[in-house]
Amino acid sequence: MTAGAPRRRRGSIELDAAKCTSCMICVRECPVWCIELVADKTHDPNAGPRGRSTLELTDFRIDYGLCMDCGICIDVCPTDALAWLPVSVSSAAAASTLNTDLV
Amino acid sequence: MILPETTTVAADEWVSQHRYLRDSGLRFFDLLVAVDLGDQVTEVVTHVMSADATRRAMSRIEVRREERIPSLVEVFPAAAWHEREAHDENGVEFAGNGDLRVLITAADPPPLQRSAALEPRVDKAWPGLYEPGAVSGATRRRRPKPVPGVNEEWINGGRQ
Amino acid sequence: MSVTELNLACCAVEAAEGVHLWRVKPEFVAAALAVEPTLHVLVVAGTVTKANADLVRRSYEELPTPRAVVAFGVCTISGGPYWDSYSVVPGIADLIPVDVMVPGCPPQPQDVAEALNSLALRVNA
Repeated sequence: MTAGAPRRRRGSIELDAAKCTSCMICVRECPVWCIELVADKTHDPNAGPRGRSTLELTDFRIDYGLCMDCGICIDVCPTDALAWLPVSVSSAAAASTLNTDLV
Repeated sequence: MILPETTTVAADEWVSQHRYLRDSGLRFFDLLVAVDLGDQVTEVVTHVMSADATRRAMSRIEVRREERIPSLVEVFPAAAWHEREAHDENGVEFAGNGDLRVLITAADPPPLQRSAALEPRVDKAWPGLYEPGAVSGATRRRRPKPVPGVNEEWINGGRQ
Repeated sequence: MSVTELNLACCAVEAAEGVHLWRVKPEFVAAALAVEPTLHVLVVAGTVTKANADLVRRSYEELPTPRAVVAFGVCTISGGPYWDSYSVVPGIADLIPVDVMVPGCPPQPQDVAEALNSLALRVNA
């Protein structure tokens, strides 16, 4: 964190994977299409009369080479799983390495 | 700055409206912009004001894709450049403007028409099409509503 | 090290401040002075339009060697907010070789200072 930077500075985005329900709202609202999400579905046939399906988040990638720090994903997240982190994204030699998995 | 009231003008009064505004002292031609409203209709808006900027007026006209609107060049010579830009980027035809040469882009269709595909959006698979937990190759139950402003015909690909 | 700024859009504000930080902060100056022979760095900051693409390419070609390029901000990396625009280059890597990409919209001035420092440390190593 840069000394003296405001606490709410738009540096990078933090994901609390435990809060994420894989609802895809952030992915679909992102104006630059820079978020990718992958979730695995597990089905437990013994839970309840019809069984129960749960989603487990395996990948949540933000392409920081494209992200314009607009914060729409953070605003639309219904479970507050996304938040600003006042830390800059590290520089890289290639654009592909800026595509960061947050899980 | 509060926007002045906007007058909607018919095509046959477009020039006389602006001549009236100029003759009543609004002699500075500030801008002419075009916006594609969708459904083949383009809105053209002008803003003129008095030299001391105390009085201002906005006029708007709606033009269908195949129609032409009269040019304002004979009233405001400054309109020539703005009309050239609107012709270049929105494909608006101005009858009486003899110099509608390409200003910036020669793209066809004009790039600011909503029907003009944004190629990167067409080429890139929309990540929002993915449905979490879906079995590979399975038919999606419903198509998610795409982002506003993005033509649904462009949406393709996505992880299955 | 010599730094040429190619400030094309709003990122210019942060890029100029960052290059200034790098020039005056003692922790960066020592490493920069040790770079031998002189490394010529081009810092490209801001949206590169297709009309400006040739300007960017020529700015790089006319740099003396050895040379390096820093892409500052997401517009220069990928097009950023204008990635779908008809008039913007989707990343300067298509035009010239890029050594360091500094992401952000805009990045902090400190980030470009650190990117320049990382170039100096890489040469000195």
